[in-house]
Amino acid sequence: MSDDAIAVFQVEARENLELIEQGLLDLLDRPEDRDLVDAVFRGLHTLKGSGAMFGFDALAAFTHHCESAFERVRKDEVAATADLVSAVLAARDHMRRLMEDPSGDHAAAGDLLLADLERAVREAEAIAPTFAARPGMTTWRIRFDLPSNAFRNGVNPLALLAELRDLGEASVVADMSRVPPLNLIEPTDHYLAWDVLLTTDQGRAAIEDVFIFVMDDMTLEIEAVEDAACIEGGETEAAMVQPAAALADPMPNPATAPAVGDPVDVDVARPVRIAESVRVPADRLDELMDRVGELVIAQSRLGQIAHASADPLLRAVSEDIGRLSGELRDTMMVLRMVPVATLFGRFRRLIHDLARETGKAIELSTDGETTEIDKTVIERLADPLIHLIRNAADHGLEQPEDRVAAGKTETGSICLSAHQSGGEVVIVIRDDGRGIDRERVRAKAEAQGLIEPGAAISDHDLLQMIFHPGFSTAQAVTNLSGRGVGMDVVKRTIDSLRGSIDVASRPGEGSEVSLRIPLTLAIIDGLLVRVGQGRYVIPLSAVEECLELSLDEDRRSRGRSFISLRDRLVPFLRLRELFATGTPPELHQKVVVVSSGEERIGLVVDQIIGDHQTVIKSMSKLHASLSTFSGATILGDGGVALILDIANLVAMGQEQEAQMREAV
Amino acid sequence: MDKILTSDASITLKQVYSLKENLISEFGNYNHIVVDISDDCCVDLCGLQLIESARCYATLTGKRLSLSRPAEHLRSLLNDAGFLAGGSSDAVSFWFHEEPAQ
Repeated sequence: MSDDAIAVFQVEARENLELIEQGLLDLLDRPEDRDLVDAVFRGLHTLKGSGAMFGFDALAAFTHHCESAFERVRKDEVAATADLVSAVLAARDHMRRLMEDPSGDHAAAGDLLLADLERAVREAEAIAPTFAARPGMTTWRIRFDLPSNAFRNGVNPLALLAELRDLGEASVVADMSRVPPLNLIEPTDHYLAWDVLLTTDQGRAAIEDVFIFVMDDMTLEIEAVEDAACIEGGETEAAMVQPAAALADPMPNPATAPAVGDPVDVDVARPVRIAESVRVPADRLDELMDRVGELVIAQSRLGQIAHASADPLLRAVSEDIGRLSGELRDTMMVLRMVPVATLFGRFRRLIHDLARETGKAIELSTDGETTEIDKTVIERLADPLIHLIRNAADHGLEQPEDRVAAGKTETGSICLSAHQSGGEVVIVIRDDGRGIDRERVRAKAEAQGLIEPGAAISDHDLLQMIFHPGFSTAQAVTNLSGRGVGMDVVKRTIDSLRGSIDVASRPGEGSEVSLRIPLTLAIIDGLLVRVGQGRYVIPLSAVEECLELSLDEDRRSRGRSFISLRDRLVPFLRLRELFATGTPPELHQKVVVVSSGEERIGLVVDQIIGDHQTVIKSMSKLHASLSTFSGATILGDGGVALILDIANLVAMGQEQEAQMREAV
Repeated sequence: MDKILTSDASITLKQVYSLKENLISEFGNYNHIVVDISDDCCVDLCGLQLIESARCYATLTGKRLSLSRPAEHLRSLLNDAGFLAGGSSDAVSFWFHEEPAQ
């Protein structure tokens, strides 16, 4: 077995395991949903079969036990109790280990899990299944066709038809209308479909069970026929027979029939095979992104050369290449975007486990799952979000009896939401727990020497203390949180993503942590500005407007750092001073008004050069501590421009404003 | 002029490509092809589909396709597959050389 084939199996197995997990979690909410039971069973069956095929024998053997247990659920022999589903969830984790590390020694752990599963099944036997009772005799109209590769994949339609006949009285009509003539047929492709009228005492689920292992790729329509007498009367049967007889319909006029040996031009459409998606390894996508980045830089150089040239042809070509590279960049960006649903989906399991571990009833709700974000960002957000959710469940939510005593519902709520705001995605984790105890945060901060005892500190800054390394207000260290290593990791990760984190909390009502994350980490539209001799990039998504600041206005504003913008005072930072350029101000300086979240500040620059497609390069470790810059980029002339960290600059401006207000 | 085409020991997934080529080739030279399917010839659903395709081709090109003898041993398979349902006279006369029951 080649490494490539095994890698493909593992990718598909991971997806299958995800689906099994989601199905099991759904089953906790809807234990009577037979579709879910079938889906989980199919997933287990597929995993077992493909695992054995690719030499993952331990995985296949272990999964076989789970499949057998779940088959009993499918056959209504045992109920899908929460305990049983949880046991299969734990077994699913073990399957993943067996898949990722097939040579490891997992036997003992596997035996324990199977013993637990056996116990759960035994206990579930005592509980009557909750599936709907079998209906009486019903006539069903069933139409199905199979994918074109069905024959090659060993699917046996005759076996399916035989199973249907086993359920009751069946009338089977093959639909051959899609079988193309000989010159157009791909002989091993499957073109047949069937119409079946089945009168049975079995329900829809039993019919679906016939197709359970081929259901993913086929078309299946099942409908109950209201009036069976109507069918017997012949009307319906005639309609059903028609497809089979359709072959005889297009009888050509013999006079116009082609002569012997002529090519036949028959208007029978070949089945069109549409590839709906293509699986591409993530590293190839990253490689392509790097190439696009280099192209954008090269295009920028070309643009500069063309601009300096009088050659109209060169300018025209440069403009074309500029347009194309911009479009290529945009296309590339879309390829990298994935919905946050892929991230949120993972946390359902986490919540399930947390609820069991803490003994709390927790409900997870999500919103804005279609919001898209760069795949690299998504991957790096997973760990911080796990920390935040663990904290919400462990510290935020109260025990059920405490909640009831506080006039709340027994079930605590954790809500994950996402929405796009300019060039950022805002992810909010909200709980309806007890809120952050400010007194304890202050006491801890004072004990750790982070603030002077009794010192005045804003609420915002006080809450930000929880992100300090080693800071934890948990009285007891639990398995879940309280070790004081979680929140600072969250902060560090969000910082490294050029994002920001904000906390709001109301005592007794809950807490809300908002993460503002840039949409992408690769290429952004930037505004290139000059400050002194240096050039800098301001992310265009943060720019609200640009104003002129004449020398007179600049002089008048000395001693204060506000501009009046439509009756609102906006603080501003003179970047020339902040960067200590040592150069005199330009005659007509510009103020670039930028925002982060609800806050705005003005950045005074010497010159606005223009827009710039900015390929973001990370800063070296030496410069990692510079909070005013989030990265660097290479300009068309080979020079380097630093990218301003707007979130930090806005915070700096707001802090400056607060200090000046205090001074007044 | 008729052409008698004798099938191999089986008309199944494995043989359908070669049978298709033979049929296409012979339809290029003859107006009537007679296929001889022996009683011990193994036929599967894929093979049946190909024969139906050949029938369709013959109809559309004004040619004829027939069996050298009734394929009685395929009756069960054709019934199970729903190929004979609805009393299609065309199918019955092709496969069994008999008039459909009225």
